[in-house]
Amino acid sequence: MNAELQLLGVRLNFSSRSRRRGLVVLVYVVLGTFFYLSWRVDRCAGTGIYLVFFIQLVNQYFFGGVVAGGLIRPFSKHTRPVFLQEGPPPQSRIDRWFWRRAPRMKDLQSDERDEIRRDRAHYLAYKVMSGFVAILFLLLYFIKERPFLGSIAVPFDWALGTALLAVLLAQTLPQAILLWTEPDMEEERQ
Amino acid sequence: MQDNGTNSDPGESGLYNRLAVLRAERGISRQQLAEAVGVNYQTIGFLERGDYGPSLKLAFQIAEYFSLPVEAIFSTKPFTPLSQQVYGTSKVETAPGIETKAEEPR
Repeated sequence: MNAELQLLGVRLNFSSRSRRRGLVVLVYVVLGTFFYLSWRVDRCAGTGIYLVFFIQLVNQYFFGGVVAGGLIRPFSKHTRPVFLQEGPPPQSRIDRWFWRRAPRMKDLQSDERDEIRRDRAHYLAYKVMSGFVAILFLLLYFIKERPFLGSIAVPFDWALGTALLAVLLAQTLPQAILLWTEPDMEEERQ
Repeated sequence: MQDNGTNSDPGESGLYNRLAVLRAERGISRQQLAEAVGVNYQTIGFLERGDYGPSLKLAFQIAEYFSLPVEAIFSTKPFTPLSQQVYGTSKVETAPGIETKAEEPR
């Protein structure tokens, strides 16, 4: 995990656990608000797809764990972003602009501690996700179009909304657990 | 952290270590040590605080870097302060109830 979040060229310090927890709460409040709006507008039927893309963007640029960007280093060891700060600075001014802002490969590589914590976070997230998948199955089982028991009839929208929540959690929960549980980090490299 | 630079609380790892004192002694930054052993500098901080117990491989890499045996850097028991090891005295019982202090060999 990185101690700093680089956002539009600005470096934000997230070495303290309380700040990282604040970020997690903020991101979930924003995503929750958009989910609520999507539900109010069309029960996630049309706007839900935009929300899926929005979740991915927020996840990549704030939480990380995907390619480059965000507080968490890529989960996969084989991730290699398109722009990398390698070799000497390029001659061209445009190339140099990108080169300066590109991450260095060594800053993207997880070490043994990162991997242990990553695995633990995914294990915890998996337990939550399996509960969500079970709820989704039950909702689909009792859906109105094919009622299993006459008295229980769940509207399709509920199943769709639950599936969207499951997507939200699947994309963000391991990262959120990592950001929430990581202790305060050393601010300086000294 | 004790005045001898070793962590007084083994933390989650259950390991005591002398990383901080060794780094300070040799003027090495966390970043330098991290690069030498192939981890992130935050991991060195977590090791020093006892929040993380290193793998066997990492422990040996650190020991090699400092040219010391592993047990001189990591221990499951608290380390004796270096000042006491170098200049300390030990109590020798000569007779019941009578104690004299004998200097340890340097």
